[in-house]
Amino acid sequence: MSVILLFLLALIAAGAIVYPLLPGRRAAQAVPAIADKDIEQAVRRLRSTLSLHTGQAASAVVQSRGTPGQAKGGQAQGPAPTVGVQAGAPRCPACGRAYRPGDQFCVGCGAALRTSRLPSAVAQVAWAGAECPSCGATYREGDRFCARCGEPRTTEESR
Amino acid sequence: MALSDIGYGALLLTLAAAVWATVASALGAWHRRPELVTSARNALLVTAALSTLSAVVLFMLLTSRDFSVRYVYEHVSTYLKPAYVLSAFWAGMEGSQLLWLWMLALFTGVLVLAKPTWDRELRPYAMVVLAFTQTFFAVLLIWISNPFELMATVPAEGVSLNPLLQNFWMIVHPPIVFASYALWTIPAAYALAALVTGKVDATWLRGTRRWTLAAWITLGIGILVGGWWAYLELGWGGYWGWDPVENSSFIPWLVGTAFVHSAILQERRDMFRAWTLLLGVVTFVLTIFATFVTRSGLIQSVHAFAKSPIGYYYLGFMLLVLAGTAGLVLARNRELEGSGELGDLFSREFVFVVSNLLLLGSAAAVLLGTLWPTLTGSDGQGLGTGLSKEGYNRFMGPLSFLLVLLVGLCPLVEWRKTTLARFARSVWVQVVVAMLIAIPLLVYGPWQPWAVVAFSVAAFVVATILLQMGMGVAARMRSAGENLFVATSRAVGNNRRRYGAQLIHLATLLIVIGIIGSQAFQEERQVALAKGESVEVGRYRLVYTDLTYQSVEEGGNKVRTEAVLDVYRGDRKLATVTPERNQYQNVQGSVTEVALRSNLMEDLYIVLASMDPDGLTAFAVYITPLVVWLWIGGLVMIIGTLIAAWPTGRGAAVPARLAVQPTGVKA
Repeated sequence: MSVILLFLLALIAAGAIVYPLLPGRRAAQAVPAIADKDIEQAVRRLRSTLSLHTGQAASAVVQSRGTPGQAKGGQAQGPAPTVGVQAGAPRCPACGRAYRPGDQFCVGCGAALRTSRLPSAVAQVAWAGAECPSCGATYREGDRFCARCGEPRTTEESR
Repeated sequence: MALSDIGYGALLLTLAAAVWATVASALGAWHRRPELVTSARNALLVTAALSTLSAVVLFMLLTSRDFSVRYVYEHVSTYLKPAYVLSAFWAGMEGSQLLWLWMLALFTGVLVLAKPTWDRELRPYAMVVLAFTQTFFAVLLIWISNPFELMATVPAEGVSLNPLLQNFWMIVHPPIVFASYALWTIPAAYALAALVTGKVDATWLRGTRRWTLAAWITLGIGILVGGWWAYLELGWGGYWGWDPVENSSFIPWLVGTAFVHSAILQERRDMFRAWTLLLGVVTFVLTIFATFVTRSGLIQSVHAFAKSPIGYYYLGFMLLVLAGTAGLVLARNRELEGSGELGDLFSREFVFVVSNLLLLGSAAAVLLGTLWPTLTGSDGQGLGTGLSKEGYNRFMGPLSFLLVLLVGLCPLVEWRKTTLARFARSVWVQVVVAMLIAIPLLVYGPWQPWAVVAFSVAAFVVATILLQMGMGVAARMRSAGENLFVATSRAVGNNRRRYGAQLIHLATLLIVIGIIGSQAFQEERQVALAKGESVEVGRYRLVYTDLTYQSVEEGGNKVRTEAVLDVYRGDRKLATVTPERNQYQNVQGSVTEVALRSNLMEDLYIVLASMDPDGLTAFAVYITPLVVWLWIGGLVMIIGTLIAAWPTGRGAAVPARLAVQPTGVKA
């Protein structure tokens, strides 16, 4: 009785293990783990993100401070007049402040931003000044939160 | 036909599937044959199912008291309470190993069921390690310590479970510990996979971070639960005795903690790639060592080690893993060079390095202390003298003191470089707090100097952590105009890792405070009382009112004796407590059940020491201050880990550290 049960179990196990190796299945799986079209798609996405960032950054690099609380959901409503920021620049979904390419967190309210994690070459130049004690990134003028890790800036540095 | 045959057969099939999974995933990964990897994946799901079957069968055998099976005969009896059948499952070597295999197979199953994402390339190699570890345990279970081994004749009654293990916390403690051991296999498997593929950047660390945190917190909680059990059951007023079983789980915790911190360093600053990898693997090897030490009797007697070949299997497996890792590290020498540099002595990097060294130094010292009797008992007969409790405290005290100090200093020191002026600006409040704690203690308390120093350092660290957390919240309240609640939840939500870690450090400090309080200020009183007499201990007055030979239980195996004491503070009666001493036939001895009254300040802990024929009853009474903070600290630690590991709905809540350092900052 127990022998029969074990035999059945062995049969099921063998089936599960051998099934992927069957000739018919092998052809279906022979495609590489990452399909070429996936790679192409990823590259295209990457390119567009990069060009978008460098394009914006050209005008937003020096200063891009928006006003907190202004234009909730500004991204959807279209450009809100903010000094130093190109029309249509991405805005923090929480406080509406425009953010710079590469920022992980809103420098006005500290909310996490759904941005590309790729820092563009131009965005890097904009880092200058005091360092965030939490992650070591450099604050830009006027930042109240670290753009990289969301750490609030302590008083003496932010003034 | 017997149930035990099914259990054993399931083990055999598990072994076959595990061996196939090892071979197929290795070949599949090497020759890039996805169909082989899929087959290996299915084989790993098969081992998860079959080891579950095996475990269920053992449990059924224990429940049905089938004494034809040796493991059942040795660990249960007809009179054992049903709940403790569970603890019987993992009370012996065979059951523990089955539990290990089962947990590992289940976690592996969960891992391979998820669609490969970041680990597309690494997973097949990680599967090799996981399957190989399963193979190892399956081999042991089948050939060396078979839980389904039969007796020559079927006895009418079993030996039953050691009464000390008949405690709720002994039902939950072993599974927690073994689950953590099995969990530690996963980061180690990926570390080896990273080595083989040469993808030794921080990707594997980020990918396995949740597994690592789960393993780390489970081990910590397992250790604390073990301490809680010892406190309740062993009746000597303490929770930690530096005995080999305790040490063997504490050593991987120390190394695992070093690993978690080294991982942060690699992720943030791209340093210590090889170091981090090694710590991950070593932690895993130490969990194997712990299993072996705990259940094989290596430490208790060299004899036990020589008698069974199981020790050589364990030793062989550990050496194989270590040698393989060392070889791979040498082969990957070039890739293992990170881009970060240690830089300034007064930097956070340096604090991390020092804390790593302290953790590893502690681990090495405890390991040596644990193995010493075995190593010095050279003739294979006697054992050398072990390190005493005081001996351990003498070096672990200062080492943990330094570690705690670093927990407080770390947030004040910045990455790369900190100027002294900046450091001084951020440290003075905490120094004042520490002084405010220390001075009255020195002036008024009859306190040992080390305890005063320890408490003021603890105060310093707690103040640092609270200030750090408070500053983040305050900055939000000021700048975004949020109220306290919103600001706190947003600050934590935006940087879970940071606040989770701070909470974990705070929890560590609570535990440290509990340890200092209970070590430095425990009051012990041994008294013999006649009925109606009373004794003053601390602020309590205990009146001994009655002694009852209450009942004969477990079919005559257990005779329960209960003393009844009224607890007063001043004239107010607080409670009636009943410490017990129970006589067990099967072990020819007695086991105490302590009476415990706990509050945030202190524990009142009463042991019924002995009942003398002259009518006097002896009690040991302990008043242990602050000990409850150990357990509270454990709870806070769980919360902190959950915060740090909680998945976020939003895209970038675990901010990716930029691989490229921003210009204008010297990396």
